[in-house]
Amino acid sequence: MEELLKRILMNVPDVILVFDENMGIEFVNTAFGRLMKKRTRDFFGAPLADVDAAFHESLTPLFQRIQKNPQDPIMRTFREKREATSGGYQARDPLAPALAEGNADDSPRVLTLRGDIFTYQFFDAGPGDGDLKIGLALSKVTDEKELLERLTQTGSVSGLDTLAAGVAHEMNNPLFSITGHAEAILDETGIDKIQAYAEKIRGSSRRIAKIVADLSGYARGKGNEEKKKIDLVETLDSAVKIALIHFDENELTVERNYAVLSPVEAVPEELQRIFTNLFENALQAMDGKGTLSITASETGDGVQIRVQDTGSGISRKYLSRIFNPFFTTKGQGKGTGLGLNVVRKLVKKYGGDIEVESEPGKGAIFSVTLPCNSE
Amino acid sequence: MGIIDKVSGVHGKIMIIEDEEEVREILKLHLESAGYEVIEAEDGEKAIEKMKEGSNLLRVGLIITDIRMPKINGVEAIEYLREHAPSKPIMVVTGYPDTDLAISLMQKGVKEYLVKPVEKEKLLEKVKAVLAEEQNFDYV
Ligand SMILES: Nc1ncnc2c1ncn2[C@@H]1O[C@H](COP(=O)(O)OP(=O)(O)OP(=O)(O)O)[C@@H](O)[C@H]1O
Ligand SMILES: [Mg+2]
Repeated sequence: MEELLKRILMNVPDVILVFDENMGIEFVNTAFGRLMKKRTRDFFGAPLADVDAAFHESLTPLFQRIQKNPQDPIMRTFREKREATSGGYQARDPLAPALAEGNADDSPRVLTLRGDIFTYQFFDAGPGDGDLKIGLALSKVTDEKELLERLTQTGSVSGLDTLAAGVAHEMNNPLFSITGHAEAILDETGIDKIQAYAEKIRGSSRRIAKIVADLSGYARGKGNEEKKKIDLVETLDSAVKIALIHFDENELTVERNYAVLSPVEAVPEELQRIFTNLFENALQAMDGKGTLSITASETGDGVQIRVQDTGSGISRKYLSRIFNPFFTTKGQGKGTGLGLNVVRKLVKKYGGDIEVESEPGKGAIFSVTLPCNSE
Repeated sequence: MGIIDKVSGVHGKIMIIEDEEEVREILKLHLESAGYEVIEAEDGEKAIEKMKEGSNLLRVGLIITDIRMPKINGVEAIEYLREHAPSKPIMVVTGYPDTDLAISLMQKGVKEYLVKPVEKEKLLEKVKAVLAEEQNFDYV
Protein backbone atom coordinates (compact mmCIF):
# COMPACT_ATOMS: atom_id res chain seq x y z
CA MET A 1 0.00 0.00 0.00
CA GLU A 2 2.71 2.44 0.99
CA GLU A 3 4.58 1.56 -2.16
CA LEU A 4 1.48 2.32 -4.22
CA LEU A 5 0.91 5.66 -2.51
CA LYS A 6 4.48 6.59 -3.10
CA ARG A 7 4.22 5.69 -6.77
CA ILE A 8 1.14 7.86 -7.11
CA LEU A 9 2.81 10.76 -5.35
CA MET A 10 5.85 10.36 -7.53
CA ASN A 11 3.87 10.50 -10.72
CA VAL A 12 1.18 13.13 -10.30
CA PRO A 13 1.79 16.21 -12.45
CA ASP A 14 1.57 18.52 -9.43
CA VAL A 15 4.77 19.29 -7.56
CA ILE A 16 4.86 17.75 -4.10
CA LEU A 17 7.42 18.36 -1.38
CA VAL A 18 7.62 17.25 2.23
CA PHE A 19 9.73 19.22 4.69
CA ASP A 20 10.91 18.68 8.22
CA GLU A 21 10.41 21.40 10.80
CA ASN A 22 13.53 23.27 9.74
CA MET A 23 12.63 23.41 6.07
CA GLY A 24 14.93 20.57 5.23
CA ILE A 25 13.66 18.48 2.31
CA GLU A 26 12.46 14.98 3.18
CA PHE A 27 10.73 14.08 -0.03
CA VAL A 28 10.15 15.51 -3.48
CA ASN A 29 8.31 13.94 -6.39
CA THR A 30 9.25 13.58 -10.03
CA ALA A 31 7.44 16.76 -11.02
CA PHE A 32 9.77 18.71 -8.76
CA GLY A 33 12.82 16.93 -10.11
CA ARG A 34 11.73 17.71 -13.64
CA LEU A 35 11.24 21.36 -12.78
CA MET A 36 14.68 21.62 -11.18
CA LYS A 37 16.26 19.37 -13.83
CA LYS A 38 17.75 16.97 -11.29
CA ARG A 39 17.03 13.52 -9.95
CA THR A 40 14.65 13.51 -7.03
CA ARG A 41 16.96 11.65 -4.71
CA ASP A 42 19.55 14.42 -5.02
CA PHE A 43 17.23 16.55 -2.94
CA PHE A 44 16.56 14.23 -0.04
CA GLY A 45 18.04 15.67 3.14
CA ALA A 46 19.06 18.99 1.56
CA PRO A 47 18.09 22.27 3.23
CA LEU A 48 15.64 24.18 1.04
CA ALA A 49 17.80 27.29 1.37
CA ASP A 50 20.55 25.52 -0.61
CA VAL A 51 18.19 24.19 -3.23
CA ASP A 52 16.48 27.45 -4.16
CA ALA A 53 17.18 30.55 -2.11
CA ALA A 54 14.35 32.65 -3.53
CA PHE A 55 11.78 29.94 -2.98
CA HIS A 56 13.12 29.44 0.53
CA GLU A 57 12.64 33.10 1.20
CA SER A 58 9.05 33.18 0.01
CA LEU A 59 8.17 30.08 2.04
CA THR A 60 9.83 31.21 5.28
CA PRO A 61 7.00 33.43 6.55
CA LEU A 62 4.46 30.73 5.74
CA PHE A 63 6.47 28.16 7.67
CA GLN A 64 6.72 30.51 10.60
CA ARG A 65 2.95 30.76 10.65
CA ILE A 66 2.57 27.01 10.60
CA GLN A 67 5.16 26.55 13.35
CA LYS A 68 3.36 29.06 15.51
CA ASN A 69 0.02 27.50 14.82
CA PRO A 70 -0.25 24.13 13.07
CA GLN A 71 -3.95 24.87 12.57
CA ASP A 72 -3.23 28.04 10.62
CA PRO A 73 -5.73 28.55 7.78
CA ILE A 74 -3.04 27.99 5.17
CA MET A 75 -2.79 24.43 6.46
CA ARG A 76 -6.42 23.61 6.25
CA THR A 77 -8.17 25.73 3.66
CA PHE A 78 -8.54 24.41 0.17
CA ARG A 79 -6.77 26.47 -2.35
CA GLU A 80 -9.90 27.62 -4.18
CA LYS A 81 -11.35 28.96 -0.95
CA ARG A 82 -8.19 30.73 -0.04
CA GLU A 83 -7.88 32.27 -3.45
CA ALA A 84 -11.34 33.65 -3.12
CA THR A 85 -10.68 35.35 0.19
CA SER A 86 -7.07 36.36 0.25
CA GLY A 87 -6.10 39.94 -0.38
CA GLY A 88 -3.42 41.27 -2.63
CA TYR A 89 -3.14 39.72 -6.01
CA GLN A 90 -6.69 39.31 -7.18
CA ALA A 91 -8.87 39.40 -10.20
CA ARG A 92 -11.10 42.44 -10.14
CA ASP A 93 -13.98 43.33 -12.30
CA PRO A 94 -12.93 46.84 -13.37
CA LEU A 95 -16.45 48.17 -12.97
CA ALA A 96 -17.29 46.43 -9.74
CA PRO A 97 -17.51 48.64 -6.68
CA ALA A 98 -14.14 49.18 -5.09
CA LEU A 99 -14.22 47.23 -1.87
CA ALA A 100 -12.60 48.09 1.42
CA GLU A 101 -9.07 46.84 1.43
CA GLY A 102 -7.36 44.65 3.98
CA ASN A 103 -8.07 41.03 4.64
CA ALA A 104 -7.71 38.58 7.45
CA ASP A 105 -5.71 36.04 5.51
CA ASP A 106 -2.80 37.83 3.94
CA SER A 107 -1.05 34.75 2.58
CA PRO A 108 0.00 35.07 -1.04
CA ARG A 109 -2.37 33.63 -3.60
CA VAL A 110 0.35 32.10 -5.68
CA LEU A 111 4.00 31.11 -5.27
CA THR A 112 6.70 31.52 -7.85
CA LEU A 113 9.34 28.88 -8.41
CA ARG A 114 11.87 28.99 -11.21
CA GLY A 115 9.77 31.53 -13.13
CA ASP A 116 6.60 29.47 -13.05
CA ILE A 117 3.53 30.41 -11.07
CA PHE A 118 1.83 27.92 -8.78
CA THR A 119 -1.21 27.78 -6.59
CA TYR A 120 -0.32 25.91 -3.46
CA GLN A 121 -1.65 23.84 -0.63
CA PHE A 122 0.12 22.98 2.59
CA PHE A 123 -0.81 19.75 4.28
CA ASP A 124 0.11 17.94 7.43
CA ALA A 125 2.47 15.14 6.44
CA GLY A 126 3.54 14.31 9.99
CA PRO A 127 3.68 10.70 11.12
CA GLY A 128 1.79 11.69 14.26
CA ASP A 129 4.60 11.03 16.75
CA GLY A 130 5.19 14.66 17.52
CA ASP A 131 7.53 15.59 14.69
CA LEU A 132 5.92 18.16 12.46
CA LYS A 133 6.29 17.24 8.82
CA ILE A 134 4.93 19.76 6.41
CA GLY A 135 3.74 18.82 2.96
CA LEU A 136 3.42 21.29 0.14
CA ALA A 137 1.61 20.65 -3.12
CA LEU A 138 2.09 23.06 -5.99
CA SER A 139 -0.16 23.20 -8.99
CA LYS A 140 1.16 25.03 -12.00
CA VAL A 141 -0.81 27.82 -13.53
CA THR A 142 0.07 28.90 -17.00
CA ASP A 143 3.29 30.79 -17.34
CA GLU A 144 2.54 34.49 -17.14
CA LYS A 145 4.62 35.41 -20.15
CA GLU A 146 2.98 32.80 -22.27
CA LEU A 147 -0.38 34.10 -21.15
CA LEU A 148 0.54 37.62 -22.10
CA GLU A 149 1.58 36.48 -25.53
CA ARG A 150 -1.60 34.58 -26.08
CA LEU A 151 -3.67 37.50 -24.96
CA THR A 152 -1.95 40.03 -27.15
CA GLN A 153 -2.66 37.70 -30.03
CA THR A 154 -6.33 37.58 -29.18
CA GLY A 155 -6.41 41.35 -29.30
CA SER A 156 -6.58 42.20 -25.62
CA VAL A 157 -5.07 45.46 -24.50
CA SER A 158 -3.61 46.29 -21.15
CA GLY A 159 -4.07 49.25 -18.89
CA LEU A 160 -7.70 49.86 -19.51
CA ASP A 161 -8.97 52.81 -17.53
CA THR A 162 -12.43 53.18 -16.19
CA LEU A 163 -13.71 55.07 -19.20
CA ALA A 164 -12.51 52.50 -21.65
CA ALA A 165 -13.79 49.66 -19.48
CA GLY A 166 -17.20 51.29 -19.26
CA VAL A 167 -17.40 52.03 -22.94
CA ALA A 168 -16.14 48.58 -23.77
CA HIS A 169 -18.76 47.02 -21.59
CA GLU A 170 -21.59 49.11 -22.99
CA MET A 171 -20.56 48.81 -26.62
CA ASN A 172 -19.20 45.33 -27.04
CA ASN A 173 -22.40 43.50 -26.32
CA PRO A 174 -24.41 45.21 -29.08
CA LEU A 175 -21.37 45.02 -31.35
CA PHE A 176 -21.22 41.30 -30.79
CA SER A 177 -24.89 41.07 -31.60
CA ILE A 178 -24.25 42.94 -34.85
CA THR A 179 -21.28 40.93 -36.04
CA GLY A 180 -22.89 37.71 -34.88
CA HIS A 181 -26.16 38.27 -36.67
CA ALA A 182 -24.30 39.38 -39.78
CA GLU A 183 -22.36 36.13 -39.72
CA ALA A 184 -25.57 34.23 -39.25
CA ILE A 185 -27.06 35.97 -42.27
CA LEU A 186 -24.06 34.95 -44.36
CA ASP A 187 -24.79 31.31 -43.54
CA GLU A 188 -28.56 31.58 -43.89
CA THR A 189 -30.79 31.17 -46.95
CA GLY A 190 -34.26 31.43 -45.42
CA ILE A 191 -35.56 34.91 -46.04
CA ASP A 192 -37.61 35.01 -42.84
CA LYS A 193 -34.61 34.33 -40.69
CA ILE A 194 -32.48 36.76 -42.61
CA GLN A 195 -35.02 39.50 -42.03
CA ALA A 196 -35.26 38.69 -38.35
CA TYR A 197 -31.48 38.85 -38.01
CA ALA A 198 -31.34 42.14 -39.93
CA GLU A 199 -33.90 43.54 -37.51
CA LYS A 200 -31.63 42.60 -34.61
CA ILE A 201 -28.71 44.30 -36.30
CA ARG A 202 -30.71 47.46 -36.65
CA GLY A 203 -31.76 47.33 -32.99
CA SER A 204 -28.22 46.86 -31.75
CA SER A 205 -26.89 49.60 -34.01
CA ARG A 206 -29.44 52.00 -32.59
CA ARG A 207 -28.37 51.05 -29.12
CA ILE A 208 -24.80 51.92 -29.92
CA ALA A 209 -25.86 55.20 -31.48
CA LYS A 210 -27.69 56.06 -28.30
CA ILE A 211 -24.70 55.29 -26.10
CA VAL A 212 -22.52 57.49 -28.27
CA ALA A 213 -25.04 60.29 -28.04
CA ASP A 214 -25.33 59.93 -24.27
CA LEU A 215 -21.59 60.05 -23.88
CA SER A 216 -20.83 62.98 -26.10
CA GLY A 217 -23.78 65.20 -26.52
CA TYR A 218 -26.07 65.38 -23.52
CA ALA A 219 -28.59 66.40 -26.09
CA ARG A 220 -31.03 64.18 -24.30
CA GLY A 221 -34.57 64.48 -25.51
CA LYS A 222 -35.64 67.44 -27.55
CA GLY A 223 -32.38 69.19 -28.19
CA ASN A 224 -34.13 72.49 -28.81
CA GLU A 225 -33.85 73.85 -25.30
CA GLU A 226 -32.93 77.48 -25.28
CA LYS A 227 -30.88 79.36 -22.78
CA LYS A 228 -32.89 81.50 -20.41
CA LYS A 229 -32.24 83.71 -17.48
CA ILE A 230 -32.97 81.42 -14.61
CA ASP A 231 -33.70 82.07 -10.97
CA LEU A 232 -31.18 79.95 -9.15
CA VAL A 233 -33.18 79.65 -5.94
CA GLU A 234 -36.08 78.10 -7.79
CA THR A 235 -33.76 75.70 -9.57
CA LEU A 236 -32.07 74.65 -6.34
CA ASP A 237 -35.38 74.05 -4.62
CA SER A 238 -36.82 71.92 -7.35
CA ALA A 239 -33.53 69.99 -7.61
CA VAL A 240 -33.76 69.24 -3.88
CA LYS A 241 -37.29 68.00 -4.34
CA ILE A 242 -36.33 65.70 -7.15
CA ALA A 243 -33.33 64.34 -5.27
CA LEU A 244 -35.40 63.72 -2.16
CA ILE A 245 -37.93 61.54 -3.95
CA HIS A 246 -36.07 58.36 -3.04
CA PHE A 247 -35.38 59.26 0.57
CA ASP A 248 -37.22 59.52 3.84
CA GLU A 249 -37.39 63.21 4.69
CA ASN A 250 -37.86 62.56 8.40
CA GLU A 251 -34.28 61.53 8.89
CA LEU A 252 -32.83 64.32 6.81
CA THR A 253 -32.22 67.96 7.45
CA VAL A 254 -31.82 70.27 4.50
CA GLU A 255 -30.25 73.62 5.36
CA ARG A 256 -30.63 76.36 2.81
CA ASN A 257 -28.51 79.46 2.87
CA TYR A 258 -29.31 81.61 -0.10
CA ALA A 259 -27.94 85.13 -0.39
CA VAL A 260 -29.64 87.41 -2.93
CA LEU A 261 -28.71 86.07 -6.32
CA SER A 262 -28.47 87.29 -9.86
CA PRO A 263 -30.09 85.08 -12.45
CA VAL A 264 -27.95 82.58 -14.36
CA GLU A 265 -28.23 82.16 -18.07
CA ALA A 266 -28.58 78.49 -18.92
CA VAL A 267 -30.81 75.76 -20.32
CA PRO A 268 -33.16 75.17 -17.35
CA GLU A 269 -33.04 71.37 -17.50
CA GLU A 270 -29.28 71.37 -17.61
CA LEU A 271 -28.88 73.69 -14.68
CA GLN A 272 -31.24 71.57 -12.66
CA ARG A 273 -29.42 68.45 -13.65
CA ILE A 274 -26.18 69.79 -12.19
CA PHE A 275 -27.76 70.12 -8.79
CA THR A 276 -29.95 67.03 -8.72
CA ASN A 277 -26.85 64.97 -9.45
CA LEU A 278 -24.90 66.63 -6.65
CA PHE A 279 -27.77 66.36 -4.18
CA GLU A 280 -28.44 62.74 -5.04
CA ASN A 281 -24.80 61.88 -4.42
CA ALA A 282 -24.89 63.71 -1.09
CA LEU A 283 -28.03 61.95 0.04
CA GLN A 284 -26.70 58.59 -1.06
CA ALA A 285 -23.43 59.21 0.78
CA MET A 286 -25.42 59.90 3.96
CA ASP A 287 -27.49 56.81 3.44
CA GLY A 288 -30.56 58.99 3.88
CA LYS A 289 -29.60 60.24 7.35
CA GLY A 290 -27.84 63.51 8.08
CA THR A 291 -27.67 67.11 7.01
CA LEU A 292 -27.44 68.48 3.51
CA SER A 293 -26.48 72.14 3.48
CA ILE A 294 -26.77 74.23 0.39
CA THR A 295 -25.11 77.61 0.42
CA ALA A 296 -25.45 80.02 -2.48
CA SER A 297 -23.67 83.34 -2.67
CA GLU A 298 -22.56 86.01 -5.12
CA THR A 299 -18.92 86.09 -6.14
CA GLY A 300 -18.64 89.37 -8.00
CA ASP A 301 -19.06 88.21 -11.57
CA GLY A 302 -21.04 85.11 -10.76
CA VAL A 303 -22.44 82.79 -8.15
CA GLN A 304 -21.04 80.06 -6.00
CA ILE A 305 -23.08 77.11 -4.76
CA ARG A 306 -21.67 74.89 -2.06
CA VAL A 307 -23.21 71.49 -1.48
CA GLN A 308 -22.14 69.97 1.81
CA ASP A 309 -23.14 66.67 3.36
CA THR A 310 -22.42 64.73 6.53
CA GLY A 311 -21.95 61.42 4.73
CA SER A 312 -19.19 58.92 4.23
CA GLY A 313 -16.79 61.30 2.51
CA ILE A 314 -14.44 60.34 -0.28
CA SER A 315 -11.17 58.56 0.28
CA ARG A 316 -8.08 60.37 -0.93
CA LYS A 317 -7.28 57.82 -3.57
CA TYR A 318 -10.65 58.24 -5.26
CA LEU A 319 -10.71 62.04 -5.18
CA SER A 320 -8.89 62.37 -8.47
CA ARG A 321 -11.14 59.85 -10.15
CA ILE A 322 -14.69 60.72 -9.16
CA PHE A 323 -15.26 62.93 -12.18
CA ASN A 324 -14.20 60.20 -14.58
CA PRO A 325 -17.02 58.69 -16.57
CA PHE A 326 -18.10 55.29 -15.21
CA PHE A 327 -16.18 55.71 -11.98
CA THR A 328 -18.44 54.51 -9.21
CA THR A 329 -18.11 52.94 -5.80
CA LYS A 330 -21.77 52.03 -5.76
CA GLY A 331 -23.04 48.53 -6.39
CA GLN A 332 -24.24 47.32 -9.72
CA GLY A 333 -27.59 48.79 -10.63
CA LYS A 334 -27.11 51.59 -8.09
CA GLY A 335 -24.64 53.81 -9.86
CA THR A 336 -23.28 54.07 -13.35
CA GLY A 337 -20.64 56.63 -12.45
CA LEU A 338 -21.81 59.19 -15.00
CA GLY A 339 -23.37 61.65 -12.52
CA LEU A 340 -20.34 63.78 -11.69
CA ASN A 341 -18.99 63.53 -15.18
CA VAL A 342 -22.17 65.09 -16.49
CA VAL A 343 -22.04 67.73 -13.77
CA ARG A 344 -18.54 68.74 -14.68
CA LYS A 345 -19.26 68.82 -18.40
CA LEU A 346 -22.26 71.05 -17.89
CA VAL A 347 -20.48 73.36 -15.46
CA LYS A 348 -17.60 73.76 -17.92
CA LYS A 349 -20.03 74.33 -20.74
CA TYR A 350 -21.32 77.41 -18.90
CA GLY A 351 -17.82 78.65 -18.24
CA GLY A 352 -17.89 77.66 -14.59
CA ASP A 353 -15.85 75.40 -12.37
CA ILE A 354 -16.35 72.67 -9.79
CA GLU A 355 -14.18 71.74 -6.83
CA VAL A 356 -14.38 69.08 -4.18
CA GLU A 357 -13.09 68.82 -0.63
CA SER A 358 -13.56 65.80 1.51
CA GLU A 359 -12.29 63.91 4.48
CA PRO A 360 -13.33 60.29 4.77
CA GLY A 361 -15.95 59.94 7.48
CA LYS A 362 -16.62 63.67 7.60
CA GLY A 363 -18.66 64.24 4.50
CA ALA A 364 -17.91 66.09 1.31
CA ILE A 365 -18.24 69.60 -0.06
CA PHE A 366 -18.76 70.26 -3.75
CA SER A 367 -18.45 73.92 -4.79
CA VAL A 368 -19.77 75.04 -8.14
CA THR A 369 -19.07 78.49 -9.52
CA LEU A 370 -21.02 79.83 -12.46
CA PRO A 371 -20.62 83.15 -14.24
CA CYS A 372 -23.77 85.27 -14.42
CA ASN A 373 -23.22 86.84 -17.81
CA SER A 374 -22.00 83.93 -19.81
CA GLU A 375 -22.05 85.78 -23.12
CA MET B 1 -15.23 15.77 -6.46
CA GLY B 2 -16.00 15.65 -10.12
CA ILE B 3 -15.09 12.03 -10.62
CA ILE B 4 -18.22 11.10 -12.50
CA ASP B 5 -18.20 13.84 -15.08
CA LYS B 6 -14.53 13.31 -15.61
CA VAL B 7 -14.83 9.67 -16.52
CA SER B 8 -18.15 9.85 -18.33
CA GLY B 9 -16.55 11.01 -21.53
CA VAL B 10 -19.84 12.47 -22.76
CA HIS B 11 -19.19 16.13 -23.28
CA GLY B 12 -21.85 17.12 -25.74
CA LYS B 13 -23.38 20.15 -24.07
CA ILE B 14 -22.13 23.65 -23.63
CA MET B 15 -23.48 25.87 -20.88
CA ILE B 16 -23.75 29.57 -21.72
CA ILE B 17 -23.94 32.02 -18.83
CA GLU B 18 -24.75 35.51 -19.99
CA ASP B 19 -27.25 38.09 -18.79
CA GLU B 20 -27.86 39.70 -22.17
CA GLU B 21 -30.34 37.84 -24.28
CA GLU B 22 -28.95 39.08 -27.59
CA VAL B 23 -25.51 37.83 -26.73
CA ARG B 24 -26.84 34.48 -25.57
CA GLU B 25 -28.67 34.18 -28.82
CA ILE B 26 -25.55 34.78 -30.91
CA LEU B 27 -23.47 32.33 -28.91
CA LYS B 28 -26.24 29.80 -29.29
CA LEU B 29 -26.55 30.36 -33.05
CA HIS B 30 -22.83 29.96 -33.55
CA LEU B 31 -22.48 26.89 -31.36
CA GLU B 32 -25.55 25.13 -32.68
CA SER B 33 -24.42 25.71 -36.24
CA ALA B 34 -21.34 23.69 -35.33
CA GLY B 35 -23.45 20.89 -33.90
CA TYR B 36 -23.12 21.57 -30.19
CA GLU B 37 -26.03 21.30 -27.85
CA VAL B 38 -26.50 24.43 -25.76
CA ILE B 39 -27.98 25.18 -22.34
CA GLU B 40 -28.49 28.80 -21.34
CA ALA B 41 -28.52 30.56 -18.01
CA GLU B 42 -28.75 34.22 -17.04
CA ASP B 43 -26.35 34.05 -14.14
CA GLY B 44 -23.98 31.79 -12.29
CA GLU B 45 -26.54 30.70 -9.73
CA LYS B 46 -29.08 29.64 -12.34
CA ALA B 47 -26.34 27.89 -14.23
CA ILE B 48 -25.48 25.73 -11.27
CA GLU B 49 -29.18 24.96 -10.75
CA LYS B 50 -29.57 23.91 -14.34
CA MET B 51 -26.40 21.96 -14.18
CA LYS B 52 -27.91 19.83 -11.47
CA GLU B 53 -30.98 19.00 -13.57
CA GLY B 54 -31.18 15.58 -15.22
CA SER B 55 -27.96 14.42 -16.76
CA ASN B 56 -26.60 17.91 -17.30
CA LEU B 57 -23.88 17.54 -14.73
CA LEU B 58 -22.58 14.64 -16.72
CA ARG B 59 -23.11 16.07 -20.11
CA VAL B 60 -21.96 19.67 -19.86
CA GLY B 61 -18.41 19.65 -21.11
CA LEU B 62 -17.73 23.36 -21.23
CA ILE B 63 -18.96 26.54 -19.60
CA ILE B 64 -18.88 29.80 -21.53
CA THR B 65 -19.50 32.79 -19.31
CA ASP B 66 -19.50 36.56 -19.26
CA ILE B 67 -17.87 38.15 -16.25
CA ARG B 68 -20.25 40.87 -15.31
CA MET B 69 -23.76 39.88 -14.51
CA PRO B 70 -26.45 40.61 -11.96
CA LYS B 71 -26.33 38.93 -8.56
CA ILE B 72 -22.85 37.55 -8.85
CA ASN B 73 -20.25 39.68 -10.55
CA GLY B 74 -18.09 37.95 -13.06
CA VAL B 75 -15.02 37.32 -11.02
CA GLU B 76 -17.11 35.91 -8.21
CA ALA B 77 -18.99 33.87 -10.76
CA ILE B 78 -15.77 32.23 -11.86
CA GLU B 79 -14.85 31.43 -8.29
CA TYR B 80 -18.33 30.11 -7.71
CA LEU B 81 -18.17 27.91 -10.78
CA ARG B 82 -14.72 26.64 -9.91
CA GLU B 83 -16.08 25.66 -6.55
CA HIS B 84 -19.35 24.10 -7.68
CA ALA B 85 -18.25 22.52 -10.92
CA PRO B 86 -14.53 22.18 -10.44
CA SER B 87 -13.82 19.89 -13.34
CA LYS B 88 -15.68 21.87 -16.02
CA PRO B 89 -13.46 23.92 -18.28
CA ILE B 90 -14.46 27.59 -18.36
CA MET B 91 -14.14 30.08 -21.19
CA VAL B 92 -14.76 33.75 -20.63
CA VAL B 93 -16.39 35.80 -23.38
CA THR B 94 -16.55 39.38 -22.26
CA GLY B 95 -16.66 43.02 -23.24
CA TYR B 96 -13.50 43.96 -21.34
CA PRO B 97 -10.23 43.70 -23.18
CA ASP B 98 -8.24 43.78 -19.93
CA THR B 99 -5.01 41.83 -19.81
CA ASP B 100 -4.51 41.98 -16.06
CA LEU B 101 -7.96 40.68 -15.44
CA ALA B 102 -7.49 38.01 -18.06
CA ILE B 103 -4.25 36.79 -16.54
CA SER B 104 -5.74 36.74 -13.13
CA LEU B 105 -8.74 34.75 -14.32
CA MET B 106 -6.62 32.34 -16.26
CA GLN B 107 -4.62 31.71 -13.15
CA LYS B 108 -7.87 30.79 -11.51
CA GLY B 109 -8.25 28.09 -14.10
CA VAL B 110 -10.11 29.87 -16.89
CA LYS B 111 -9.07 28.30 -20.20
CA GLU B 112 -9.70 31.13 -22.62
CA TYR B 113 -10.50 34.81 -22.39
CA LEU B 114 -12.19 36.06 -25.53
CA VAL B 115 -13.25 39.63 -26.10
CA LYS B 116 -16.52 40.55 -27.76
CA PRO B 117 -17.19 40.95 -30.58
CA VAL B 118 -15.38 37.66 -31.09
CA GLU B 119 -15.77 36.21 -34.56
CA LYS B 120 -17.64 33.02 -35.11
CA GLU B 121 -14.71 31.16 -36.56
CA LYS B 122 -12.42 32.04 -33.70
CA LEU B 123 -15.02 31.17 -31.11
CA LEU B 124 -15.59 27.74 -32.62
CA GLU B 125 -11.90 27.11 -32.97
CA LYS B 126 -11.29 27.90 -29.28
CA VAL B 127 -14.26 25.83 -28.16
CA LYS B 128 -12.98 22.87 -30.11
CA ALA B 129 -9.51 23.25 -28.66
CA VAL B 130 -10.71 23.50 -25.09
CA LEU B 131 -12.98 20.50 -25.46
CA ALA B 132 -10.20 18.47 -26.99
CA GLU B 133 -7.71 19.36 -24.33
CA GLU B 134 -7.31 16.80 -21.64
CA GLN B 135 -8.81 17.95 -18.41
CA ASN B 136 -6.50 19.04 -15.68
CA PHE B 137 -5.57 16.64 -13.01
CA ASP B 138 -7.34 17.80 -9.89
CA TYR B 139 -6.05 17.02 -6.48
CA VAL B 140 -7.73 17.75 -3.20
N1 LIG C 1 -21.21 63.54 -1.76
C1 LIG C 1 -20.44 62.45 -1.90
N2 LIG C 1 -19.96 61.82 -0.80
C2 LIG C 1 -19.17 60.72 -0.94
N3 LIG C 1 -18.82 60.19 -2.13
C3 LIG C 1 -19.26 60.78 -3.24
C4 LIG C 1 -20.08 61.93 -3.20
N4 LIG C 1 -20.36 62.30 -4.46
C5 LIG C 1 -19.74 61.41 -5.25
N5 LIG C 1 -19.08 60.49 -4.54
C6 LIG C 1 -18.26 59.39 -5.05
O1 LIG C 1 -18.00 59.60 -6.42
C7 LIG C 1 -18.45 58.52 -7.20
C8 LIG C 1 -18.90 58.99 -8.55
O2 LIG C 1 -20.07 59.76 -8.44
P1 LIG C 1 -21.04 59.87 -9.68
O3 LIG C 1 -22.19 60.73 -9.31
O4 LIG C 1 -20.23 60.27 -10.87
O5 LIG C 1 -21.50 58.39 -9.93
P2 LIG C 1 -22.50 57.50 -9.07
O6 LIG C 1 -23.25 58.36 -8.10
O7 LIG C 1 -21.72 56.39 -8.49
O8 LIG C 1 -23.46 56.93 -10.18
P3 LIG C 1 -24.59 57.75 -10.96
O9 LIG C 1 -24.53 59.17 -10.51
O10 LIG C 1 -24.24 57.59 -12.40
O11 LIG C 1 -25.86 57.09 -10.58
C9 LIG C 1 -19.52 57.86 -6.36
O12 LIG C 1 -19.68 56.50 -6.67
C10 LIG C 1 -18.99 58.07 -4.95
O13 LIG C 1 -18.02 57.13 -4.62
MG1 LIG D 1 -24.24 60.09 -8.72
